[in-house]
Amino acid sequence: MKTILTVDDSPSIRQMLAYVLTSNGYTVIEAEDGEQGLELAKASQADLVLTDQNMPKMDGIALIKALRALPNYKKIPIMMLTTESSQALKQQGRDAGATGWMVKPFDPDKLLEMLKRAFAQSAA
Amino acid sequence: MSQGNPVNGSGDHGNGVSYASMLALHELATRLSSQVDSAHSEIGETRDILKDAIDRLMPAFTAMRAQDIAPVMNPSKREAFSALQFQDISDQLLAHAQARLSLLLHEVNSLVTALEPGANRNGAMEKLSQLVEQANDNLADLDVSLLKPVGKAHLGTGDIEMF
Repeated sequence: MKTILTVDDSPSIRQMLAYVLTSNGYTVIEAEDGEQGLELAKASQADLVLTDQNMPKMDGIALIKALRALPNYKKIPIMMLTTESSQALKQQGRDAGATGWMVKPFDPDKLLEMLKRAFAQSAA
Repeated sequence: MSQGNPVNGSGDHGNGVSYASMLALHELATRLSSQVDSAHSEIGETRDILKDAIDRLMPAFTAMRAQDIAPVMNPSKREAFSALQFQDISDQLLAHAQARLSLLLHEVNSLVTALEPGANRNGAMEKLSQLVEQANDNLADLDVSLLKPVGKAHLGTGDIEMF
């Protein structure tokens, strides 16, 4: 069973993500900001990280940079799930090491499809 | 009898600001401060109402989750998912608007203080000049710190891009 770390400061978004992911066989670890996400990532190995961008304490791109500096997170998929859609920010995410970018609001089926693609891409 | 433009400093002697000008500006700044403060509070109330609505909806959502043995994402559920996420998006926009209003309130209140009827009129222009400079710096900092929070303007779901 794959473990997904979700990082979002909105409790309702975290709940919706947990609903979709656990219903589809994933184990979910939840963090409410980048700082907590980083702590949880260090404490337990996630198979994929799904993070928001705009969060208190540490934003999504800073989290990706910090995760990519950890040996066991160099290759795992890290997806952005955010309201941000500017090309400039997407480029920053890409440069930081993001695997993909999904703009909120998310469609559950599209989200699951994106995760499958991300897992397939990382396994290749 | 014409009262002239109070802000132009009619009755002013030397480089200072006339008492009438300072009084008029002080009154204006006080009224602006009150309006900005009210707008800030109203946005706060709107955020509370939105949060309350979601807090009431989420238990139903959680119950649905508990009852689903083999959850099927039918069109109604999909629409509910999208709609629920817009509270988060709206709240981010409102939080940004509040942050902007907080700064405006701070700047206007600085003006109110600088233009107090008892303030030194001769030093007022220098003080105002410093306030303008500081306000410009603060506004520039705010634009840097507040990234555009929301790129969505409709209820459609977002795009995906794999890198």
